[in-house]
Amino acid sequence: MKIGMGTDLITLYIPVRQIKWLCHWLAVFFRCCWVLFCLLQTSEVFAAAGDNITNIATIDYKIAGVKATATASTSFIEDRLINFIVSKINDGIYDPVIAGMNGALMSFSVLNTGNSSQDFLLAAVNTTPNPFSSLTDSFNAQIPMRVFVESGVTPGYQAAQDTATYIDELAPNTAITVYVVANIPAGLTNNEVAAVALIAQVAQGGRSGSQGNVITHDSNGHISPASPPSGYSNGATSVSAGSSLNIPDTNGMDTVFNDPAGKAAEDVSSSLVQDIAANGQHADAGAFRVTPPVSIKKTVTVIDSTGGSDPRPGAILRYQLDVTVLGNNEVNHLVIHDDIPAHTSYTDASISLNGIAQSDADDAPVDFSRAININSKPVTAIEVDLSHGGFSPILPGVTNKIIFEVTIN
Amino acid sequence: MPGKYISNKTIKNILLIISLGGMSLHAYAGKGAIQFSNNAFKQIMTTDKKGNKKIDYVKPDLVLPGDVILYQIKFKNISHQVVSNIVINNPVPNNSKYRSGSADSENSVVTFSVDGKHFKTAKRLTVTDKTGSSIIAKPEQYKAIRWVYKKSLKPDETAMVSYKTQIKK
Repeated sequence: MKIGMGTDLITLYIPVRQIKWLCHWLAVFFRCCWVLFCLLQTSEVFAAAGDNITNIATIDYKIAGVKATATASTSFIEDRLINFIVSKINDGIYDPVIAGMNGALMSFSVLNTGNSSQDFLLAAVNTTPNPFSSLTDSFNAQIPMRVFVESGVTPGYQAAQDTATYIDELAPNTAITVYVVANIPAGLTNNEVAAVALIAQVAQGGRSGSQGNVITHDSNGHISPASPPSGYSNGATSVSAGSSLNIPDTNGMDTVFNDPAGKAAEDVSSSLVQDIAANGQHADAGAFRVTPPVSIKKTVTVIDSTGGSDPRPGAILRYQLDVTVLGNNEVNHLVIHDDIPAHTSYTDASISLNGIAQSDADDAPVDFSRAININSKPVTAIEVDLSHGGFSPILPGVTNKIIFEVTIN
Repeated sequence: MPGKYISNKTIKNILLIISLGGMSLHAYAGKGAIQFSNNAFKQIMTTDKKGNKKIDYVKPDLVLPGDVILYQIKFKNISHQVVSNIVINNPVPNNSKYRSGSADSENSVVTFSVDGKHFKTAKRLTVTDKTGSSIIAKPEQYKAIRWVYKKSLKPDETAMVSYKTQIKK
C-alpha cells in the first residue's frame, strides 16, 4: 500500500488482513460511541449540574432524486444551582425541656432543592426573638450545642447511630433530618423560652465520606458570610468563608447561590444577623420551653344506673389519668396522688394501671398502688407509684394510664 | 499486493470511521447541498423602566434548571438545484422537556413522538396511563420532534424551524 503526502512518497507495507481487522474493530468502537452518545440524548439519569446538554438535529432531503442527510448539533453546560431549605420539624410547636436537663432535642430538616449533590456544614446558635407565640425569649441553651445528622438506621435520634456532624452528599430533591442536642441551664422557671437557630452552610459535594470545603461564593459575586463564633459543629475549627471575590470558571460550570432568605429575624446566618438570600446559607429557628417534667391529662366518664351519663346520686364517675414524661430525660420517683372528690365515695378495688387491676392495699411489691385509708374508710385518695419505689425510671414519651372510680353520694 | 483487494465492507468501515471520528460534540454542519446549522439561545425576560416586559435571547452561558432554551435550526440550499422532500428530526435534548406549543409550523407539518420512532400531531399523540387507558401525551413526555417541510428549497434559499425546551428541575 502506498500513501502519498505532498511531493514525498512514503511506501508502507501493511498486510491487508490487518487493515481489515483494524478497521472492523475501530468501526465497532465508533458505533458503540455513537449509541452511547444517542442514549445520552434522552437520558434522565444524569440530570444534574455539569451535564453537557446536547441537541442534535438531522435533515433528510432529496436533490436530483438522490437522498441525502446532514446533521447539526449544539451543546452547552448545565450550571450548578445551589438551593436548599432548612425547616424546623413540627414548626410552631415548642420543644419541652426541664431546667437542668442534658441532651434536649430539637429537630430540623434540610432539603436540597438545587441540581447537584452537596455537603452541608451545620451550626446551632442561640438566637432571638422567640419564633413562636408571645412568650419572651428569656434564656440561652448552653453552648456549644451539638448537631447530628440522622443516619437512617433507626428513625429518631439515636446517640449511638446518629453521629455524623455534617451532611454528606445530599442529593437533589432529597431531605434529611438534623438534630440539635443542647444542655439546659438549671434554675429556670416554667414557660421560660430559648430560641435556637440551625444554620446550614453549603459545601462542595462529590466525595462521599469526605467533608467538602465551604463554597465561599458563586459566579454572580454572592459571598457566604463568615462562620459563626463557635464554628460549625463538625468539630473543625472555624470555617472561613466569604474571604474571596475571585470568581473562577470551573470548567464551564458556573455556580449560582439561590438559597432563600431566613423567614424572620431569628433565622440568622453565621454572621448572626437575619439570613439574606443567595449567600450559601439558610436557617430556621425553633424554641425550647421549660415545662413541668410530667404531663397529666385527667378525664372523667359518668355512668349512671340506667346506663346513661347523668351525674345523679348513685352514678359512677370513672376517672382516667394519662401520665406522660415530657422532655428527653427519664424520671425517677414518680408517684401519682389523686384525692377522692367531695361528695363521692371511692369504689373499692377500682384502681387499674395500664389495664391491669391493682389492689387497694399498701402491699408493695405485689403492686405499687393503694387506696389511702382503705381499712379505716372513707378512702381519701388513691396513689400509684409509677417508678416502683425508684427502681423503674419512667421514660419520656411513654404514657401510663391510671383509672379509678368513685360513686356520687 | 497482487491478488489482495480491500473489500467494500472495509471501505465502508473506513468511511464510517472518518465520518464519525471527525464529528465534534460542538456545532458542526453537514456538507452537501444543504448548509445546516443548529443554535441554542437562553430566553431571558426583562422589564423596562415603563414596566413593559420584553423577551430576549442570549448565549446559553449560564443555564440553570427552569431556564427556557430556544433552538433555531436553519437550512440553506447551497447547491444549484432544487432540494425537496425535506424532513428534520430532532430528539428533545437530555435534561430538557419540550415546551408546549413552541415548535413553529410555518411551511411544515410538525409531529411529535414519545418513543422516538412513531410520530403524530400533538392532538393525536397518545400514551397509556396507569389504568391502561389511552390519553393525549403531555408535551413534557415528547422525546422527539419532526418537521416535514412542505415546500422545496430553491438554490440560495434559507428556511428555519425552531422550538423551545425547559431545563428540568
